[in-house]
Amino acid sequence: MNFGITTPILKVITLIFVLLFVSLNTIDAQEIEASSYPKVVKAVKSIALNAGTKGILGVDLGMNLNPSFGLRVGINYFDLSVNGYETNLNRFAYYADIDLTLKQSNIELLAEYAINDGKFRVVTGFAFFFNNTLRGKVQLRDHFTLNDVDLTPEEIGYFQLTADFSSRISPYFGIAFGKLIPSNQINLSFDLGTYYKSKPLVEIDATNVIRNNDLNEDVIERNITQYRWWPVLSLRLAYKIN
Amino acid sequence: MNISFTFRALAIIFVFGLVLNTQSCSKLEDLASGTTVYIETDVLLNPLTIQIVDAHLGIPLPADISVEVVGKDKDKIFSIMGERTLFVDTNRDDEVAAILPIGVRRIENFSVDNPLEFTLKIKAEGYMEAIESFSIVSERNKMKTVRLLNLANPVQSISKETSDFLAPVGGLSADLQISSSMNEEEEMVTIDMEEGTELYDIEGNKLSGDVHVDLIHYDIHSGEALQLLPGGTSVANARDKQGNSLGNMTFRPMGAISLDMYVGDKEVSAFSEPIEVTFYINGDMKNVETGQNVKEGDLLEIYSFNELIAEWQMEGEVNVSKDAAGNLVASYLQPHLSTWFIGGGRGCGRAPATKIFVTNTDVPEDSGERFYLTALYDADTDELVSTESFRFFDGEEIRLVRTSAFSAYFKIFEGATEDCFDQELFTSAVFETCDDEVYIDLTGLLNAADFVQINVEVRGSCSTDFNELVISPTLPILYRPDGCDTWNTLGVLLSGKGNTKALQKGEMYDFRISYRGLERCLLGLEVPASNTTIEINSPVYDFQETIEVVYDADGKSIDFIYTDIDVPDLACQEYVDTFGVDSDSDSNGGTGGGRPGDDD
Repeated sequence: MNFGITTPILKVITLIFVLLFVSLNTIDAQEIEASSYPKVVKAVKSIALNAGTKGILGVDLGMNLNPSFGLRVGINYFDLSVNGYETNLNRFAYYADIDLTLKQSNIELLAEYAINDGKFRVVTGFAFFFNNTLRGKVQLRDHFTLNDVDLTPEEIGYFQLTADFSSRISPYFGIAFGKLIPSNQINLSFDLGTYYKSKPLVEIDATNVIRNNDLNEDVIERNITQYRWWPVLSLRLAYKIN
Repeated sequence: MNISFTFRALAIIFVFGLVLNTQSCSKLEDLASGTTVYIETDVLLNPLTIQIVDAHLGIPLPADISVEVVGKDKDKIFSIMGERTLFVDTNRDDEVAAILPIGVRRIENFSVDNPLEFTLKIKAEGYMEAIESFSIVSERNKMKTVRLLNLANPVQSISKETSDFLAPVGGLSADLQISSSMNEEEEMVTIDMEEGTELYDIEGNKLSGDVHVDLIHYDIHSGEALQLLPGGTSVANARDKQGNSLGNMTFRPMGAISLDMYVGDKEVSAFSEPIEVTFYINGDMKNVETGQNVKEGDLLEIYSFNELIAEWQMEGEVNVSKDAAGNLVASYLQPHLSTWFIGGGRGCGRAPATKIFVTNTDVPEDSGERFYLTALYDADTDELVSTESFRFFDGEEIRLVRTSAFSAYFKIFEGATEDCFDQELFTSAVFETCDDEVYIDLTGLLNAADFVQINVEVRGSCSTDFNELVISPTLPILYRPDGCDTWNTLGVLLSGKGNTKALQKGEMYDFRISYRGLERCLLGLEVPASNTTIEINSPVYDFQETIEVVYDADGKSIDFIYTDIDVPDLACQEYVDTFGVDSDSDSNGGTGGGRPGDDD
């Protein structure tokens, strides 16, 4: 099995993060009068990197509205593929080779309520997904010998599943451990929560000997529908902006 | 250490650890939970089905028919079960026709512009070897007929002479002449061998002893004889004297023979001195080159059939002369044995084959299938060139493959099969077979309204012991009107779905499925004139199905929708044995032991 990430997007996100980080520090260093700051910029007190199931990599800006309430706005990159997952689906004499691609990059706006001096937070909000699709291609792993013919997996056929979550906006519920704004310069916090995703629409495009398996669309749609609670476990490395 | 890589790897492991194993305590396999496996039967494509019949239709075929594939694309031809060796399917209920489905892998690319070309050599003890070339241009199943000639019972258009003589070690002890009988067209052939001529086998070994000769002379005025001529007269390729390709050719023979000699079980292939062959030619025939009746002084081409590459090869030219009695004759020296002809041929060269565009608003492409027997004629001679079946649906484009360089016309006949067609429904205008476009409007001409539209959808489910496997058959169903001896395609089931409009109420028909071991023949079934119920019982499996025949309100169509057939476990097991779609990983299916059912 091997995994792949679309690296250009990863680079762009990294670049955005670096530019934000550098520009904020530059502004601070210039000691421009506070009155000339836009209020929203003044309110931003932390910038953080995230990694987890909401995004392979994300960046967010955090601010406290008052000692109990805070806001986070972030962007998360999630474009992940797994190629060559092998299974016989616990049913067959032959193994299938499965390629999966999950795309759910998003921007999110989260509101937080701090408890215990902000070390524990209750978080809610929503995310707008730029893309919200799961694609999977299934075909035989090995060649198939039928008498004198060594048939390739492509010859036997494949079926390609596309699950498209119909709504691009999903609510988020969760809790967080650790402060939104670091007490010192840097802190590490942890998010645990879930997105509630919309009902997926499943389409199957099948070929050759298995071409009629599009008749399984409804069953697979029902199966995937059980996965609407997308779990979020995410580490957040925050930097305090003075 | 590459930090970026490490980070990515950790991220990926983390994410997929959660997604694949944590969420809903599920695994990827759970996504497939409750699904049904829909499997098609056409692992290989079946673009061509060949029926083999005796040249005298209606006579039982021998049991020892064997088939050899030669030609350019021979390596791309299989049985539909992926076997290199082709097997003909015979049926005890129908001994007069053997069926040979041809399989082609899905990875092969072929089209009208890039057809698969191959030749079949079909043999049986006591029969002349049938050598016929085929072109596959589309995935859609076509049906072709090959006739086998029983040497003990040749057809009228073929004269067969046998002769026996002694060939001593030193060669023939005297001059020898073998002649065919004079046919109705006042044509015949004589073979002359000089004293001292020695005989050799294909490896150059000298042969001596008792020699048996079979001389077959073809009446080249007969379409039947031309169909039996090994190699045929419309070919995808021929060779000049140097072996260079001549491309697509259509020949017009003016005399043709097949000459075979045997010393014991060894076949004579060549001679120390060429044998002299003399054709007596009918002066009413047209010379291809001059366009005029053949006459003294004309030059004719000589071709022999190279059985190794299954192509005609030019051997030289021969002058037409007159003998002492004033008969037109052509004599040449023949150094080796096979099938030879004199005459001429033409090809399209680089010009494309003629296209025929069909308008027929009575028959949309998705309407019930019905194939019409169509015969192509040489417009100069009115001789039959070839027969083939077409649907002639609205918008159909037909390309004349392997037919070239003559003016031609075609006729469409009522009736389905080569031995059961009568009423002429349509005759085209004369057109050129190269680089021409022909537009025909058949609306209202093909009696389409008189036939019942039958829509079929069948799917069979195996029990839970077989993963609830659902099998959707893809195969041609053959039919013939009661009393006929050859089959035609009733329709093609594609993934269990098909339709036909080839049957008439109250008429009796035979039906046959012949799919490399899957053999079923139902004879003498009447198409019900009104609603009824039919019970189908399998002689092999514990299987019974009740078929309700219910006409729609206008009485012109019937739907047979049976998508919930419980396939007997025995049949499912045979399928599993063949294709390896098994319920556990320890099973040993897949490499071809069984077949998907015999005699069901």
